[in-house]
Amino acid sequence: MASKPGAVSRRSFLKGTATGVAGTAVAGGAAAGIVAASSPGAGAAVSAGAVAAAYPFYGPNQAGILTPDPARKQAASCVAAFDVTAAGKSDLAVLLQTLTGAIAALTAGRPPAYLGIGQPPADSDVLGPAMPADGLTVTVGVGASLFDARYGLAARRPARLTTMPVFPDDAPEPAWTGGDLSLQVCANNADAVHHATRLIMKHTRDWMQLRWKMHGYASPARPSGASRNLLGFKDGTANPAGSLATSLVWIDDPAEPAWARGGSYQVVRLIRMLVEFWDRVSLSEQENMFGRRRDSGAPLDGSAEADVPDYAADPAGTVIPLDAHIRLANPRTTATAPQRLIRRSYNYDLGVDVNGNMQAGHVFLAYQQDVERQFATVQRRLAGEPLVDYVQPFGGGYFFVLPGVRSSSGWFGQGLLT
Amino acid sequence: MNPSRRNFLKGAVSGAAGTALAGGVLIEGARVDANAATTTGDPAAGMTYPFHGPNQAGILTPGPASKQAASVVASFDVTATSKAGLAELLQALTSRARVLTAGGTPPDLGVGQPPSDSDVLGPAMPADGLTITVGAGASLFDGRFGLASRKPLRLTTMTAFPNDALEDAWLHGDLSIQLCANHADAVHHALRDITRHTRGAMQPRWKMQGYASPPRPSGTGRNLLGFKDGTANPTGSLATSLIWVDNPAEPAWARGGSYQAVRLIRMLVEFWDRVSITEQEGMFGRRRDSGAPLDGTSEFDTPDFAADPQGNVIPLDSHIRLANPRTTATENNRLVRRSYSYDLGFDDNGNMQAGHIFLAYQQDLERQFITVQKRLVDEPLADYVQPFGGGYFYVLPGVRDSADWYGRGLLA
Amino acid sequence: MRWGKWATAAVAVAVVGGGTGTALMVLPGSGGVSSAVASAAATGDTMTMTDTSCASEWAKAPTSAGGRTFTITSGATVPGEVNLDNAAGQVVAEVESMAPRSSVRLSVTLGAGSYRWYCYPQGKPSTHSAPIALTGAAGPGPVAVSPVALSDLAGPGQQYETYAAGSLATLAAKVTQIQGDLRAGRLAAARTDWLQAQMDWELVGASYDSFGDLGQAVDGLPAGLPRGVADPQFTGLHRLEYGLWHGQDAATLETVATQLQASIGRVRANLSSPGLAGDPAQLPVRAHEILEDALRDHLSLMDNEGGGAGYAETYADAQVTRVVLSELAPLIATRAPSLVSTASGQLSALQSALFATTANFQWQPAKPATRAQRDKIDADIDATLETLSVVPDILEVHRGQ
Repeated sequence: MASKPGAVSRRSFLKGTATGVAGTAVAGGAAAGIVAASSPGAGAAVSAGAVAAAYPFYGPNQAGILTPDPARKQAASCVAAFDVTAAGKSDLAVLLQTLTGAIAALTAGRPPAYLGIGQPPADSDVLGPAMPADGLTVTVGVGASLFDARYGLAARRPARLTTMPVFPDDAPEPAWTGGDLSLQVCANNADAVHHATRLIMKHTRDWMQLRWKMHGYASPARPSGASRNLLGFKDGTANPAGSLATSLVWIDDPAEPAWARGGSYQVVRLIRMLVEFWDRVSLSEQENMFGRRRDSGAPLDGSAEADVPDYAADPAGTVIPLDAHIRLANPRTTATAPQRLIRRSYNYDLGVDVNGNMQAGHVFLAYQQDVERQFATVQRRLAGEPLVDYVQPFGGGYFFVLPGVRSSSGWFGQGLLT
Repeated sequence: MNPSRRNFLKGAVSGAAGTALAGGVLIEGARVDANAATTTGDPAAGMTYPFHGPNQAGILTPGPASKQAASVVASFDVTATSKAGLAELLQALTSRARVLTAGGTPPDLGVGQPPSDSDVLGPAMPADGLTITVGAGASLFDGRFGLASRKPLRLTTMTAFPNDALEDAWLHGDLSIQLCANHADAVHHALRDITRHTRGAMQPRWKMQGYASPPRPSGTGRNLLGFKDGTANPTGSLATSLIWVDNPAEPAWARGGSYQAVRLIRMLVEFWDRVSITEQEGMFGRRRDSGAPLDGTSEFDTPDFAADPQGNVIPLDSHIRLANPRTTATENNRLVRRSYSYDLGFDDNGNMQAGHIFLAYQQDLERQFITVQKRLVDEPLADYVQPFGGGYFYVLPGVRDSADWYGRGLLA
Repeated sequence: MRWGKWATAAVAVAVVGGGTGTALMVLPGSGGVSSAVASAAATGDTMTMTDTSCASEWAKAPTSAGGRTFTITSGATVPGEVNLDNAAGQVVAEVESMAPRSSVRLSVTLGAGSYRWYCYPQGKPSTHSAPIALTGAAGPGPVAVSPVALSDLAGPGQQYETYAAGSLATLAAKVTQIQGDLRAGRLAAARTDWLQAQMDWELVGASYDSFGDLGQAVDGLPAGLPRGVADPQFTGLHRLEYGLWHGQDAATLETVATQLQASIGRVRANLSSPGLAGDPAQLPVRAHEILEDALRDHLSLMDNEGGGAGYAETYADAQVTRVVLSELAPLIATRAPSLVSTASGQLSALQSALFATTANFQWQPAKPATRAQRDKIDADIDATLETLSVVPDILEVHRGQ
């Protein structure tokens, strides 16, 4: 690694953590489950339900997928993709070790060590001197391109990891697509997401460059149940939970490289929603496209959000159209049960588009143990669904979420690189 | 029958929407609607700020220290082509603002129309602490609507200051709308509703979403340079006396309004993070951790510049010293800031696109913001920030009652 | 794709559950109806559809006008639709489809007057409640809609089909001309003729993939294709545009034009099929979505493959929207008397704004509009769309009729 004087010392706090210091127990939270934390602004004092102050970092799987799970996901997020510029395999290892140290420290709310005078401050203080964890999780994934010739990893590529194919209704923009490495950063407040992303980037500048990033937010329950997307529908109602989720998400296929066990395939889809157009469509059409009632989230053949649609009783699609989103996505047959996946999506808002419309949409994030059997199969089934007129997938990528870091002596991708 | 769904607004201007707030308690100027709170289980969702009054909400209601967590500032070009069309636009804006800030179940339009609401906030449409603040830019007073003679005295088109790098796509506009709410989805919902009901009469020009940080760990929220921002904001009667226009030289219709300066300021955060803490603190004139002035010990200590004429403790060119010299002569230059942070994507160099939505309110743009900004020219901080957009707007007087509307005095 | 599913040929549906009689008594244990049913039932605004009865509770329900929230419950053995009609037989509210044993909340504002419920259990005779007069000081409720039958749309549908056939003939002739241009190596002429051909296609009115795969072959985009502009499935007018503005040679493009001519032939041959112009229920959707398409694809430059024809295409789209509106005008007039004239004025404004970007009566592909011009175009198309979005809703074919 080509070290610049100064750059090294500035990063020293992280270096140490990769091999030692970081073992500090996660403050409070972990064992007890939940510690009330601050949340923003006027809403703060009266915000409903406690949110966790910190989530455990060490374990067989990374946090940010089922910890916290999608129904309790943090309110603020950012997904960022990077091009790895490390010169060789050993630099890549340093990058991953640095990421490990930084994320272990940030998610524990442990501020970087004072670097002494003559050095820039170790932290930006965007979260103040105490640097609370604020419910932060950072989830690290790698793209298929990391397994090209640069680092000699071709033989170790996860079996199902490819570049995200172009699906029939996509309009991909290269600037928003792909990447060697992905970070999903989630926290209780937007400033904590900014802070973590920024500190991580600062400490990894030599070895990776930002390719794209998208900030997102989760809506609170309106008024109850799964939170709503920007089409006004509850989203994530049918997400698998508990042991079902566990059995669908984490890699345990013997055909996968041994190092990959405990990882997960991540699909990121940046999806523009044509909200002005959507708002010009009748309610019954909207509900037929989703297959759910807009107000309650109930399937069209049911009465309450949690009701399970009974497609067998409606083979012609009289009540829930055959091409309704929920019916295509999850036909609820024995054959399609293994195709289910975990969605952990966010809303985004950018500026104004060339037509003066709102640039807004959906950061679709899905996790699964087999991207082909799960996401790709479901997505192919959704091709041409009526909803496609109102959404434009324009970016994202496939990534492989590395196995969790099991202890303070481990690091992201240790199994992959050694 | 006219099927245009904009038409249902017409009635609302003078009647239907003026529903009084049902019961509820007052928290920091906000009402929490007991009903909404019960149905949503989230008191923040039921929070409302009063809409009617001599001044618009969203400036001192709630005040900067307790401002809502989410915001957007949007600018619009008016495409209505007549004074009557402009009046209709402002009436539509008024009635939507009245409805949205009160919250409540949207009307049923029947089977022959798309639904009246997007349901982004669910069927009960809580107010979620929403405030809407409407301003007019200098361009609204050009020849199109015959308003040239009614322009507020100090309203001009923002011109570049020496360290600005202004970009056309992010500048100016005939109207500005500042939307603030407790959650980002409520801000999205309100802007979407407003644009829908005003289509054809105004066209979005630019918008920037923002967020406020909670206290870290206490006191005033921090900006993305890591410093507490807004500590010295005037409050109470001082704020009131600095903000609302009462100058007899201003047109009579403008009484109760305020000048709004919007500055979109990119912060070069990567560069900033490579600067020593001593240098950073010298540029601001405050301690980063506590927010205390460099000559003090806690955030709300008042710096004593007179005791430090050479700037040995607080440099003469530090931000707080230039912005507010705390002299009798500069006392009436003070203004009220109500700023937010923003995060966009990434720039061409792989840096974060992040920064500051500077929002300032005052009764005299020239005497306050422009004077202060001129003092700040070439401050050391200028190397780390790039103002690239925004504009000057005149916040219209408040809507006084259910018969009133934004700009009624202006267009009368 | 919008298509009132009840209007398609009826398909037999397996009967589920064996319940008869009124709903709340035959609920199976497996959680079909939520607790909301019980609470609404207590307030007296639950209406029940069975196989043989409709909202028998209506006779005893409160008679106050104003905002009402009903819980519609199905005790029927088959799926069905429930409508609330006013005294004029116009639909005031609907539950488009509901399954046996389910319940749905329906909030509606009702003005004073007489109303009755209609139930349409699938495959069984429709039933209705007694009319009940509501009184009280509520203002006029939401706009009620006179029901539309599929047969009402047959005439306009036929007019449109005839119109589209004529437009396609014009297009075919223009493509023949392009083939001649290319054969003679006249690329500049081909570019000029391409613009006319693209506008001719717009004038057909085949927005939003409404001509299916055959339409895609004529007007498809590279987005969504694995190899983008190099993908063999990228064919038609935009493929030609891409080649004409990216230095491809005349011989290559002649092949593209020949293929395009064949694709147009297939559209013409199949024009009457329901997947193209043969489904009259699609016509009200066309009236709205041709311009949505223009906004999404043309004005955003998303479908610009080099020709920069967004304003010209949108102009043509406004033109064909007028045609479709005129075909539907008699049906619209009785339901929304001022809609056509409002839309017509807005379309004129839009076309004027678009035309303002031309120079010497020529569309200017390269010239960016000024901000004011662009604002005006966007504002005009947005306003037009808000008006037009009502058309599919007031002309939706409901099952009951």
